[in-house]
Amino acid sequence: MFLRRIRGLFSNDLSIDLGTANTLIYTRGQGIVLDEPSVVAIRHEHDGGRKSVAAVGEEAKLMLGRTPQNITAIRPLKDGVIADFTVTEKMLQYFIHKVHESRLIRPSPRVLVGVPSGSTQVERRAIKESAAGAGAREVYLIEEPMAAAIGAGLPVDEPQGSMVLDIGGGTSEVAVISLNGIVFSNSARIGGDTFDDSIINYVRRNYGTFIGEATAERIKHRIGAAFPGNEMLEIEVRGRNLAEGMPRSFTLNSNEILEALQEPLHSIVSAVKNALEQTPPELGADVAERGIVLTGGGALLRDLDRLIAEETGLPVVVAEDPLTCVARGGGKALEMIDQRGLDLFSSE
Amino acid sequence: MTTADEAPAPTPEHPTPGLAGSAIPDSPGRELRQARQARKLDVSHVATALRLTPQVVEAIERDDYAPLPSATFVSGYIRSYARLVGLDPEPLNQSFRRLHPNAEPPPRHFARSEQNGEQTDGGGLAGALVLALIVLAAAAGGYAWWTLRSGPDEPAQQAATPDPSAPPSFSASDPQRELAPAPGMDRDTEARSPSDRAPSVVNEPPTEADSETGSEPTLGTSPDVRMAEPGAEPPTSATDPIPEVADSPALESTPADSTVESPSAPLPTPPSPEVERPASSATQTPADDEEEAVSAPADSSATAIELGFTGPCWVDIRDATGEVLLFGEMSRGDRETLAGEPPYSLVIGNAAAVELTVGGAPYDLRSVARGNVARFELDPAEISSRTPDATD
Repeated sequence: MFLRRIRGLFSNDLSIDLGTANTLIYTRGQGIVLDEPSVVAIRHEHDGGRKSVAAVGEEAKLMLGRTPQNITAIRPLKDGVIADFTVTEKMLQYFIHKVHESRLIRPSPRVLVGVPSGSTQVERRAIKESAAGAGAREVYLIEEPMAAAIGAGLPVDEPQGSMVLDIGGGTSEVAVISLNGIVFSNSARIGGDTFDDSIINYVRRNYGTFIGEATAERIKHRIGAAFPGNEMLEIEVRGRNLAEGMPRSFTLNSNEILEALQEPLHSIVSAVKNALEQTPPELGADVAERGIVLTGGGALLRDLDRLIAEETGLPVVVAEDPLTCVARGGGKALEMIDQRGLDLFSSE
Repeated sequence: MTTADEAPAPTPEHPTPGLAGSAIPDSPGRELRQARQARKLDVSHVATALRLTPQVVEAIERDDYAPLPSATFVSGYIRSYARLVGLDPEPLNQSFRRLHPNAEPPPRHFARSEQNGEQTDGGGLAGALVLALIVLAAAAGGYAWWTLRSGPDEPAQQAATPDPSAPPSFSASDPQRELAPAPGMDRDTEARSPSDRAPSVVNEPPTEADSETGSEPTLGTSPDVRMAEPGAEPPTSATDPIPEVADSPALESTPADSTVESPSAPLPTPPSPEVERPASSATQTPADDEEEAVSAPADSSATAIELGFTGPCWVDIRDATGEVLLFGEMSRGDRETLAGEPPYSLVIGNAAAVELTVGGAPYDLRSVARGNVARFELDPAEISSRTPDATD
């Protein structure tokens, strides 16, 4: 324990956004120091069936769907929570080391990890223990909407309602925050991954062609939109034709993708509407006056703010650098530990 | 698909080329108002499209941020407004941040690459700390090694080196081990059996000598012993040791008392003819050993090997079983009688400072010493059989 404290002197406090799609690490005073996909490639040794980590992060993501038999590229998180405990621990260990790579002493940082507000006690404990197993000296948990709101610069400590919609890779969280606390939150297990799945399903249904997850993600980034624009974008993609069994190339346009995304988008809008219905009227009035703030990677989907504005009739703004809001907010919360104590953090 | 009043929304890939100024405008509100007027839109129209009140839109156009909510929201409003009227939102946002005192600077994404210099600075500081710790640890380790080593090495100052192949044995379980007592101690340490002085033997029953001396000399105190030497009273080599050891039961009946007065006996003189192998007391327990020394002094006196020290000397003496009889640094005035299984293996660091007698007869160490260090095997029985030839 004493040794850990000594090692802690050589470690930075970290705020980790352990996301389904990407893991981000924010270091006090340095900003975002790591942004890598939450992917781990596992190699199965031929002798004795031992497993070892072949690659983590960006390198492992390139392997997704392109691995030989002895390598499995997996995403250890699903729907914002841990699906594979051991692999998550290895991944976190790798990332924490990477952030401290210039250090001689094994790092033992204080770590703040964001958890979905809808996660269960078991899921939270898994995240906490995973971070501790990866070498963290102390682990704090914070609910992601709270971290996102702090990161977006909302006045969370004021007696005013602020609504934040954080669309991550696996979950979408909507929360109303006032006086450093979450008044109401709603979590839907819909996120960027669901968008990808919807695109894959749409292409299979309408083109009889099977495309991979990486291709679906590329389509979403290039021509994905949540609201009909007056600009038609196109992309050429390749997939395996189900009838012929041969790889074929074809062209998709943004209206088709908009159509493909209708179902998950509708679920997100429903979650927001539901939250607004449940919000106490005073706080609802504050939200109506200033608007809803979008954070998370999903906020980068073209015209998502317009869709939500149209559906709710409220102003909607996209936060500055929405991808890093949770990590940055967690970092700010870590800095406030000494001033405010632990009232920002969630218990297990 | 789109409402008629809305301009095409510029995307990151396709920013509207004409209106997007690369230079940061002084007033984002004025830019927005000009763009709105160029598109012939009125404030209420923009307010409806952005779901804001007309007052908020006007405040934005006046660059009056006091009645508006926090910077996060205003920045978002400006971006939406810019897209609505077909401007590139980023320059407008940057100028807004300049105007708004509370606006946060844009987040530094991927700060790692930007901050490499700073990173190495921090790493350098931590590295320097680590280096300092390592140097300190090495210095402490070196000092500890030197202190532990320099005790046995002390005779080297008198041109004698101990046998490096005989590593100091710190085994506390060796009850036969003897150590040099501190100079001041041998004043009140009256002839004790070797077991009495065995240091750090935890289970040893306390003896009279223990209570007298208060503390047993240990290996750890050897530096102290060394430091105490200069101040030690310089006794004459011939007279000093004898009164001190006079009570020793092992010595009482030996003729050694007379022979040690001639320290520089040139040749091994014949020991007494009734030399016998000493009783093997090495296997006995320390307590037994003491009693044995009292009850059978005559038995061991015939082949008793005594060491008288006239100066500081490092010794390592083992018996035939490999058991350590005497190990460590002896000081001037010490006398020791060996009890163990002959033949003995001796290493004497400073042969000139040792008077060795076998069965009362002096043994010439210089004949076996190389330089000033004597390394040799000694079997009292052999000497007793060889001495008649020597006399011939």
